[in-house]
Amino acid sequence: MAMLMEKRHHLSQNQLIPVYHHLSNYQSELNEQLSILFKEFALDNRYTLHPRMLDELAHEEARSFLTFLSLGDTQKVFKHGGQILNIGLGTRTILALVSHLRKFCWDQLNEKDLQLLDVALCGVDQYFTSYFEGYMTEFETQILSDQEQMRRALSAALQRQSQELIAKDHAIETAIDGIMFTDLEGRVTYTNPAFMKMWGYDHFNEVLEAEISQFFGTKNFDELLIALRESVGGQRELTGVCKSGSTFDAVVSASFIQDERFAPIGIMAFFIDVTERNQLEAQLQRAQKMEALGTLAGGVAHDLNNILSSLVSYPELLLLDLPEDSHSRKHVLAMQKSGQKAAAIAQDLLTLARRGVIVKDVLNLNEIILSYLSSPEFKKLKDLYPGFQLQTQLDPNLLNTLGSFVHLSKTVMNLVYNAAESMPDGGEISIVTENRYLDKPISGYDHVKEGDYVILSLSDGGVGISSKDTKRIFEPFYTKKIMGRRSGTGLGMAVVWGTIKDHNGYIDVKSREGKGTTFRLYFPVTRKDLAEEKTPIAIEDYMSGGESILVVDDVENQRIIATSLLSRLGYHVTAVSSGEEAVEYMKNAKADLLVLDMIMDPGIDGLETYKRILKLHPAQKAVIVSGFSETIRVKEAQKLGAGAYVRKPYLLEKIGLAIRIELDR
Amino acid sequence: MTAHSSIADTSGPNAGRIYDYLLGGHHNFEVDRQIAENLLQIAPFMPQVLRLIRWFLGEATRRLLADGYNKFIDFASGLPTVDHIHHLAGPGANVIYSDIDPVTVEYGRKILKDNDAVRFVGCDAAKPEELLNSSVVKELFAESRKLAIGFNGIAYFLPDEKLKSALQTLYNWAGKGSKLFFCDADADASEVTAKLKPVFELYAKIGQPIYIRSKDKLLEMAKPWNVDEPGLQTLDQWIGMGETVTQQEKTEWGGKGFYGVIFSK
Repeated sequence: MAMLMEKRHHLSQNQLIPVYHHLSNYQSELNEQLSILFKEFALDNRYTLHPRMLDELAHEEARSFLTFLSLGDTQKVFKHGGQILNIGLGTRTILALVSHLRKFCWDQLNEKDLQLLDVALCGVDQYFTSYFEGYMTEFETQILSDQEQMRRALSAALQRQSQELIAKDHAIETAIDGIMFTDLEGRVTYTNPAFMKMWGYDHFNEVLEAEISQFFGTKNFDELLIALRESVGGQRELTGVCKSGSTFDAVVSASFIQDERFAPIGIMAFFIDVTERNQLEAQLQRAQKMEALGTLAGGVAHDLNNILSSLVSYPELLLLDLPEDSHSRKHVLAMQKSGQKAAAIAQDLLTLARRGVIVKDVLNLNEIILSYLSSPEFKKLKDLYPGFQLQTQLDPNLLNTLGSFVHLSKTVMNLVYNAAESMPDGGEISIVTENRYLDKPISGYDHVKEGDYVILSLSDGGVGISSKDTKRIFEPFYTKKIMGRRSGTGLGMAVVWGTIKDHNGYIDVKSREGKGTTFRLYFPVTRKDLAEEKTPIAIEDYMSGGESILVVDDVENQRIIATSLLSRLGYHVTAVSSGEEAVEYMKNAKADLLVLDMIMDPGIDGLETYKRILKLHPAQKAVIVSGFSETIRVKEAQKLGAGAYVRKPYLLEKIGLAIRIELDR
Repeated sequence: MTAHSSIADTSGPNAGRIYDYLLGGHHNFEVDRQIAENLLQIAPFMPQVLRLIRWFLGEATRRLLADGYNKFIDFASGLPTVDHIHHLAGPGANVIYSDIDPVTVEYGRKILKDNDAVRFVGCDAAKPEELLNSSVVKELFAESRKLAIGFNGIAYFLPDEKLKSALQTLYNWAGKGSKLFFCDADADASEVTAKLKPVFELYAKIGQPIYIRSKDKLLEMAKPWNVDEPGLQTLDQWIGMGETVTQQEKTEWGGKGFYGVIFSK
């Protein structure tokens, strides 16, 4: 390079001009030679240059060299060298170009003018000195520029990546699902705050490097790992074991953490606490099952009530006719008592069907409990199970609730009965009442909504119930089946469930086998005051004033009973067996009041019958009777003008009073 | 977010940056240069192969431009250097380049910042839908889907199922009359010689394994794309400069060399 530099200083433009004049005659030849050269070195260039481009480049290079010989402008050559770098010609190509230009000069001048050849060769050297300077200067600039751009691009990419990592980290940290990373041996490498909260840990150090088996209460890690692996791409349910030892249901979905070669290096698992969801599902299933059983029980109760009417009502009529000293009274009374017992079962079935409970009386649970504890039923229970002691802790300021005295009494009775039965060798039963405001829902056996409640807790120290059986304890006959009980109707706990639901209440059960059971009943509070004591009504108060009554009932037995009872009260009674018959009757006759059975099958029901009769007699009075509970169709009939709804079986006072009130209205 | 952000990690070698070094570029790091030098020791023809691939890309672009195509989408583009599509196409053509490497994307954008007709987006060539469904496509091409798609120098980095899925996605998305210019190596695994195996092992070692397949298999996978004239030809045939070193030594290296093809819909 130093020699080239030295020679360059000795050349002037005037010296180069003759060389130019001579060599320019061979420009097309040079073009062709350079085209071949460039194609030969094509794959050594930095960028891929198409053959057409290489031809153009060859012409450009020949022109550049000859122009230099003509003008001697080294600056222009310097600039050209820089441009060539950007076009992408490689250094090997350029060295070949130098060599070829020297050869070209030799070929053209060697045999013609040696002095001119010497100048030409010096010119080639001078040309390429400037050419290389331009090339290398641009090369240096380009490297610096590329590196700087690379640095900036890398910095921007890293910044973006950093932002992504921060976002991902934030998402993991704030996720409401528990997230856990482990290595392939199952040791924890990371957990997010939601995981810590789920499992009840305070510090990450407590879980770092812990074996995951400790979170699931299983020593068989392989099994757990299989579960996690199987849940890759799917879900699996596991039992989580908290730091405190309590358990919960968790759904896990897991995936492998992979390295850059997609080899698994750990496991990432997501956990959702599904305890509440499972409880709600169980509650829903239970409610649906009870609903279905209720429908069945309701149907049975309806038919049973019709049959029982004879057993309950005829003895009542017979007793009215029999003298006080009649020998037969004892037998009739026994019949009546049996009928009443059967009616009680039917009533249980109705309660279970949740169609028979009217929960509009203002009641106090303390009174219900005390009333039961002083009842003959409780005395009888004590005689049966003399070993148990009953303690009460009743809140003297207990708030009232709306309900049915009879049904709540039965609920208390059934629970005490079951408690006593669970302790055949004796023990303690405790009944506690209290007021409580729940400021957030409780999810236990039931999902108890927030609100004001009076709570009745009944605990025993009996045999307890297994968690499997606890789930089904309120199903009809289930207690009988699991505990081998022979007493009761088998509907006791089912009635408790139905009653609680009818009272818009909730129930919670906690039981440990061998330790005992606690039932906690939640009833919504009412701020209404207790009603005054009811006084018995004399038969004279609901006797007839000679009015006429049309009894409409599809069951013959029911028509006979109703006719007998109402005749006894002094009414003129006509009975028909269907709605259609009643309408026909009313076309040509009148009745002061209709006693209208609501459900008549086949044919039109009580509501339709009433509607049609109203067209004939717009002011027609009626009372509705049914073995079922009050329905929407009963209420619709009442909206049209019907009076009270009386549930079968017929009782003299009940039906008599309802008719009297309606007639006097 | 891309699942491949770690490519920006300079602590490990990256296939794109190795490619750049082998082509004489400066967008690489020491870790890439070491691997590239190892590669050159094993397979000195690598730079030529890479240049041939780029050369085919240029040749196909010129032919498609001559046929009136002026909308291009290119996958696994690398840097938009002077021999890339937008340079060859000149003003009036719209080009969307893409690459999986965020550094390349970032740098590519800087290079193209003054060119409104060209975009550079981050996209995994195995998931072309990421690009096709992006707003950039609508922004540059509006509703037009008749265009030319470049898929070069990337097929051998994709396993069969991913490549097939990508080709099907492109076919389903592209409008009638669209073109796909594509190149790959023509070789069965059984044809890989002991001399070439270290190349495969080296790429596998850096986490970017090479997948090879015969051109018959590729044609089956590419259906229903139709093969345009002149059909599947070696890259040398496309360039028209005679046999290159790779073709001469293909027996020694195994396989049947690299080929290029233009498909049409």
